[in-house]
Amino acid sequence: MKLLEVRNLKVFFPIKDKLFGKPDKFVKAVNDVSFHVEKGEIFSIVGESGSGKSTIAFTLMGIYRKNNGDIVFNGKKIENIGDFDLLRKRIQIVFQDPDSSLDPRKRVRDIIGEGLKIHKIGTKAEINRKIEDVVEKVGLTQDILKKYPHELSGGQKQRVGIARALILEPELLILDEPTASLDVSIQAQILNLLVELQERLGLTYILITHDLNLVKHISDRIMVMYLGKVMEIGSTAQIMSGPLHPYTKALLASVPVPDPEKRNEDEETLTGEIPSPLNPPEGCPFRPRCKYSMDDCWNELEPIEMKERIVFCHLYKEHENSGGV
Amino acid sequence: MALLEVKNLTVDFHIPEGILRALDGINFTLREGEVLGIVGESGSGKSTTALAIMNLLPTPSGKIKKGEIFFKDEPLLANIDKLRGKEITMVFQNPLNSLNPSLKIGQQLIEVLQEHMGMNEKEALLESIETLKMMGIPAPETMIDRYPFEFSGGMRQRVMIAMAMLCKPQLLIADEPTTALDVTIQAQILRIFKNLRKSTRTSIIFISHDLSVIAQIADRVLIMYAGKILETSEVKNLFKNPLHPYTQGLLKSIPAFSKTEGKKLYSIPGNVPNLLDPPSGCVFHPRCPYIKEICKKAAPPLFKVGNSNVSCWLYKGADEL
Ligand SMILES: Nc1ncnc2c1ncn2[C@@H]1O[C@H](COP(=O)(O)OP(=O)(O)OP(=O)(O)O)[C@@H](O)[C@H]1O
Ligand SMILES: Nc1ncnc2c1ncn2[C@@H]1O[C@H](COP(=O)(O)OP(=O)(O)OP(=O)(O)O)[C@@H](O)[C@H]1O
Ligand SMILES: [Mg+2]
Ligand SMILES: [Mg+2]
Repeated sequence: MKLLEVRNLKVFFPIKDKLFGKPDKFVKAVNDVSFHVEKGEIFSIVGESGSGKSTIAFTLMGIYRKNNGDIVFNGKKIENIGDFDLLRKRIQIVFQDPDSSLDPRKRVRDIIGEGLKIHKIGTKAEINRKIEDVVEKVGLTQDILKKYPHELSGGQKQRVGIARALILEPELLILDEPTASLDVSIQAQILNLLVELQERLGLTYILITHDLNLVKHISDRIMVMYLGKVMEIGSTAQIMSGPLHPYTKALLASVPVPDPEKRNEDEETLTGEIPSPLNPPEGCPFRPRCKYSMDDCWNELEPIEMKERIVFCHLYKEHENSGGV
Repeated sequence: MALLEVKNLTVDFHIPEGILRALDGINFTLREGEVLGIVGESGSGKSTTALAIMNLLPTPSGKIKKGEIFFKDEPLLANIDKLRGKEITMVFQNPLNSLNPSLKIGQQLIEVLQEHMGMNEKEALLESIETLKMMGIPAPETMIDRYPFEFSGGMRQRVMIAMAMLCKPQLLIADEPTTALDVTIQAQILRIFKNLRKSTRTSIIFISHDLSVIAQIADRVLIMYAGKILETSEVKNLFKNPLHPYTQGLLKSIPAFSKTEGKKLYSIPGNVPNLLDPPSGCVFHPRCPYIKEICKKAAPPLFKVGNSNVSCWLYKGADEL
């Protein structure tokens, strides 16, 4: 069952002209992106810095306004501010950097309980019970509630961030680089907690990350983005063992393998840099770095669907609907 | 032959909360021509090791309390001012802070060559362009006329490596040279290091918290934890046969290595210790699955097991170093 469906989402940021203060250019942070998330799955969004991953998350949370497109949650189209208010309870987010996302002046009890207050849920006693419950769920002890963020370790802070998100009993949890700021030995602790919570509470996750090793291990389906556009969507097995888009191939080839016996001395490293988002290439955004680029690649691309997977690449035009490559 | 020898190096930071021992008697050697990887979590002492070698510890808080460093069998710290920038160079963890923002890239490179190699401007210009080319910077003839802010993060890092390699140093210390970069750019930078080890005689200390990166680039590896070296090993050996329980735990918790059922990963329990109040005995004992009574009481010496060194009481009975 589809829990979330996003159709043709566009989110543009105006860049103000320095002299006259009027917007004269736009960063097309999310440019015509469509995907869906099945109930109960871990759906990963991967792509390099600036590809638009966080912008999608903030737009789903109603923090950024969309310029265009549809967001459908549990079959209901989310249109106005009231809809987003409702959505904000059902969708929660855990941020990358717990340091900047936890208010340093508040005690952990108030940080975790804040959402309940905002949404006016429950009496004081009920709120306290819920707080104590959720603290236990995320593997912390009750004495943490009196503390301030600066008294916590990185891993504890991230657990508080998860508790704050969970207390509203969301259906969908967005995890934006949930372990990137943590020590290597703490990352696995937090990931295990997230996996356990998902199984126990029947949650659905959107996982945003740079870490392709992690994505391979944990997710059910993957969306690969580049410069605001979708390159490819498919199951984890499909993407990891048979990437179609040349960008996905290059991305996977760039991941260092934790095995000194498998030093790929001639792996194909991508040449060139990610173009400026203010001045994205015409047609396929990957064209200038793609070794298969051809005249067609200057044209906008329609999604090519093949057996449960979608790829945006002219190379696969003739395979459309043929059921595979 | 050992190019660099670090003996019993101990570094303290004097901070308002007390004395923080960032390095506690570390020992290692760097052989000529090798790439030595230093791995460890945040705060384990990787950058402090590099800065102590360069004699660039922050003053007045950072001090070498004990120990010696030898470079080609000579005491290093007496000579470091002559060697730094020419024979021994470093790529810093934060590249933004280490380029002069108001000077064109070309000028910065040319100055280094004029100062250390006594080249005239024309020679220095040609050599700069040559080195930038080696780093895979497109159209270096025009790039040298640009300012640092006009470069992307990946390009800036290439310039930093170019600057460090200009005088063909004997030792290059690279502190997390790819950490802030995207994975496709990281692969490009790793490629540069792989080429350097083939085409030059420069020995490299490569610092990273990422074991996967280390697997790709290092010949030998030091595993650091809370100011100590827990294990020293040849890279292939380290991944095949990790000795220290900490190393074993780190490897098991990498998703690509995971042999657990389902989506759960192995994880090391507990937290990294506070160095203002370090654990007694072995620094890893509060998190160790094999803890014995002695581990709480006495810090283990280095034991020699095969070609590796390991600081862990499990190997008691092996040769002590
Ligand atoms: N509030 C904003 N105002 C203007 N531009 C923005 C804003 N937020 C994001 N952008 C721009 O939109 C593009 C996409 O940014 P976004 O943060 O979504 O990328 P990301 O994929 O999350 O990257 P990262 O991996 O670095 O977190 C970038 O070019 C970014 O500079
Ligand atoms: N200037 C300083 N003043 C006080 N303490 C310091 C200073 N620099 C480092 N330390 C402390 O010394 C210890 C070692 O720090 P160091 O920077 O060497 O770690 P690292 O292994 O390089 O970590 P990272 O992976 O975060 O770069 C840490 O506990 C750190 O807090
Ligand atoms: Mg982001
Ligand atoms: Mg460091």
